[in-house]
Amino acid sequence: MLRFAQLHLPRREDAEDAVQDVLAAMLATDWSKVSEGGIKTYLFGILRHKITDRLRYKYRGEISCSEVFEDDLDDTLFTARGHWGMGVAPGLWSTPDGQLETEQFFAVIDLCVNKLPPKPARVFSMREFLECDAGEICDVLGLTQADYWQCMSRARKQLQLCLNQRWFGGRVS
Amino acid sequence: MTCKEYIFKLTSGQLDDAGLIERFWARQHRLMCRRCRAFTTNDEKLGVAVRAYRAHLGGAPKK
Repeated sequence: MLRFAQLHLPRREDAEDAVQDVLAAMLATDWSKVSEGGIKTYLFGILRHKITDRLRYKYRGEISCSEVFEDDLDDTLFTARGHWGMGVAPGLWSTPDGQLETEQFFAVIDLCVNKLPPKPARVFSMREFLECDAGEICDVLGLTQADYWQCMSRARKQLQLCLNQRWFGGRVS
Repeated sequence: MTCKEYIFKLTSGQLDDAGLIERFWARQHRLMCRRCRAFTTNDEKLGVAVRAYRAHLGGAPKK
């Protein structure tokens, strides 16, 4: 749970506090109403709420459109006319069954997510790991819809490029 | 639609909510552009991998 919390809360103290809040909530839980198989789901559900609450408190209004990220990845990827630049488009990934569910591949995903700029990383991890919807993310982080799109696009483009480089041998199409 | 526009619509998630006409033009672009076709297929695999990673981290699906 701490590892999961640390994905979203950059400071270890915040992540530990969120997990501690879950442990405190456990003490007040009526376990007779939670099935044995649902305990993990129940606890991670609480953790998601605790993380979202902390993000809402910490980052509200902090992200603006102009400071979403400092560099422009699109200038590297595309020509002035909006077509792919030479030798930058990732090649088609060929993946045998199960290759993308190995510990080694997860370690590379972890590395690539941690290399994202902080703001797109926060938006992407809320969307994909906390399973928040776009409206909730915009509300929690004080983003406009356009900022949200920019952050998600940046994150998914950069993740594909990173995985292409570090796992798929840097093939280009 | 240029490659840059297509890739932005895909990666931002706008295509998921797009209307029929926009999805039609996106599909036309994919048919013409092998690089965007490859990027789209990779993006789908990235989605599968991220979901597997999420499960690996211990996060069960949100109710």
